Amino acid sequence: MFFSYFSTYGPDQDRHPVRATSFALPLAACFATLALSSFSSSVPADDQASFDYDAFILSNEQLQNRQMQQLIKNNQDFQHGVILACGQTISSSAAAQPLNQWGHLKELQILWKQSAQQWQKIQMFPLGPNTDTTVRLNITFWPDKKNLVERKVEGLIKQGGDVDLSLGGIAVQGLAASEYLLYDPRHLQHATVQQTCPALQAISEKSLANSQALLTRWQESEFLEHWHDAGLGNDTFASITQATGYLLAGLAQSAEIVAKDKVYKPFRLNTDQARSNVYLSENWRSGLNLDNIQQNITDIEHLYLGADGHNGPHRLLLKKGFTAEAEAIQQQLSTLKEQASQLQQMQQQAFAQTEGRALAKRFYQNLKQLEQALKKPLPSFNLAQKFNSRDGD
Amino acid sequence: MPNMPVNMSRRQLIQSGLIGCAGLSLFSPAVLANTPASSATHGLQLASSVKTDAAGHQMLYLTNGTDYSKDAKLLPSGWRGHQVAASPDGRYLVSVARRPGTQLLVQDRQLGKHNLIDATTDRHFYGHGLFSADSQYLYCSENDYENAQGMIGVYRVDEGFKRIGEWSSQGVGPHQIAWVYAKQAAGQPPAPLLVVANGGIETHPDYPRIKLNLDTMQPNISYLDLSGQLIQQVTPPHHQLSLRHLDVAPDGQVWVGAQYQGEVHESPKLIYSHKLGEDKLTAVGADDTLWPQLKAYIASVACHDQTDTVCITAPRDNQITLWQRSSGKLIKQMSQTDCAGVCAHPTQPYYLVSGGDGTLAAYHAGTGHRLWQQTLNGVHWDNHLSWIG
Repeated sequence: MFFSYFSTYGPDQDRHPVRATSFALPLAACFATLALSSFSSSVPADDQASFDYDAFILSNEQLQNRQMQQLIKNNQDFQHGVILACGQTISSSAAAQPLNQWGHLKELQILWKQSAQQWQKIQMFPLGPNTDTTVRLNITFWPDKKNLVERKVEGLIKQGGDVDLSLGGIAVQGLAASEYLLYDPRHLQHATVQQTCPALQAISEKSLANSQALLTRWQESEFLEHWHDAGLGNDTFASITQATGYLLAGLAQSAEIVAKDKVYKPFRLNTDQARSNVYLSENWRSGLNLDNIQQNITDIEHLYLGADGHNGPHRLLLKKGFTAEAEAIQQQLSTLKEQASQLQQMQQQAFAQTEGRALAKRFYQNLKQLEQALKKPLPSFNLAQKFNSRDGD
Repeated sequence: MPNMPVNMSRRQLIQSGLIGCAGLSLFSPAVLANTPASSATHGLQLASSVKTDAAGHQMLYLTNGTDYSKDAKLLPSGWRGHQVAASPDGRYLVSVARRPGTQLLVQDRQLGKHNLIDATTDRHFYGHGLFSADSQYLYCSENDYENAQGMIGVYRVDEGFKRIGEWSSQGVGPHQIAWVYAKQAAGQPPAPLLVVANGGIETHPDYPRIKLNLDTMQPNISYLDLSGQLIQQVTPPHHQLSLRHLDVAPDGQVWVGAQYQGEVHESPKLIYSHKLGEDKLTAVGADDTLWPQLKAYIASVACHDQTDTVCITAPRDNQITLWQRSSGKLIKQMSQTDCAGVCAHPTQPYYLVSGGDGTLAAYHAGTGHRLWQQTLNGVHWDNHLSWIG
């Protein structure tokens, strides 16, 4: 039955898959997965120039859906952990102890890390309603060049037991705020469990709500509807080919953001004389900064090669004859993965040592080259200009 | 504080910059409909902030050109502008940097010179400015970002745009400003008031373009007299309806477009009108499904003096909406890619709409019928389009 929707092929091989209004439905997900498997198996493994248009669309939908559901699950675990830990402590003598002596601290840090790492897996997908700056800052407030998180979270703590997050604004909505409470060395030393728990509970609850909103927004969006029906052509995507082009362009933008915010600024690559400033890096308190970068490169590669492992922009480029361009991108990704791994192995010393800065500089240059390589074939995709609609005022 | 001369026309007081009609249009819509675009553009007097592929952010203006693709003048700014304000005497054009920009680009058309004016310490612009009807003062919406308060900066034109004072905008995140005209006692000239759209969103240049207070924002429309005193203030029905852009009809009715900061799929109505003295905003009468379709985002608002209509752009859905002012009913939706800037022709019954893809198009002000369009390749028209005649 499912195949019947794919029985006719359009002139450019763009086809129209069945409309699925919500991929949160397990049945729909299974159904689509089965269909995908069927399609994937029909593609010869050695046929590098084949591209399954429908599998490309569906696999990206499903991947994003899965990642958001997993973030919700991680945030649920984190919130439950916080409630349990605070509940067990708040009426005991341990409540007056500094946080760094709290017996539950390690387990909460582990739960927090799972959420933070899962958020990284969503960050690199560059399309749809969740790319909005405010949406992303609701999940975690970063970049934070003036340490607004600390000021706002300390303000929350001063509110005492009855925390009103709205007074702290966007900086206290998500993972960066809870990271401060669970990792900031000065806070761990000077604040007690009793002082910290009300804010931590409120933030973990808000983080969960924000991640649920992420999925709802995605499922309710016109973007998803248009992405799903890209094969028919609509106001957002003229075809699946064009949708693939938008993904390619978006991945270039993702690479640019990683290069600028996660590498160039914290390593202060604007001048050779400067020293790195680790405090500008993402998740510096928890030490996830370099892990994040490594994950980001992995995810850019994953989306480029195909959310299902096969049908990504890479194959479409090969199919369209952009062999040199596709191979250049792949080569650049391979180099970046290796360098990201080296940076990650250096851990926080990468920020302190000359060798680390030099590696970061090479990594940055390669990221910029990746950005250019991803952009090179774009003129052939006829992407629409989006000046005011993308960044108006 | 500056005085407003009273010997100006009502419309001049209502909205300087869309008056004068110095550039007589050589075409009517009927002619336009059958006229090749190159000749139809004769007589356009427009200004806008633009980005060009060749030279980045600039102010573009055209005065009595016969072909805007050839006769448009470009002045580099180095930053992204928003609205271009035109002095009613025709001498000055001012491109205002959008948030968190800190400069004005002033073109003196009489002397053929331009210069940059810096914002004062601890202030930045919001992309909007407005001249007094006598062209002696420029008012700009500004941010006192250390105190999270909106301000209206007052500049003396004949002193080299020296900043001579400021008022509270009576809200956070002031955006577009316009003149309205309050009735006085018999025999008294109408009193000019500045109407301010306070978007309600707190921003800080340390976190450029990040909205810091979406949970607690309190947008409003405020009417200020020429001493900066608050005369009236009204708030939208939802605290996350950021009121940004407005225009004033000849009858004094203020039309305002909102950008909803909540979930797009839950977007409330985005277009409202208000008359001084009314206790609340009046929403237009469209189906609730329209607002999520428009992606909860309105870019520009323009009222047409000669017709009972207001034209409003929604670039995130590539839609132009045309409304009847007297009934609040939707007349027509038109599609134009990345449409944002809109202005009314001061004498002819049509609107001009610009888009980020370089397109400039004219639509009949009564029917919404597209009369012509041209595209300036490599030019991205920014959020607003001003008639400068």
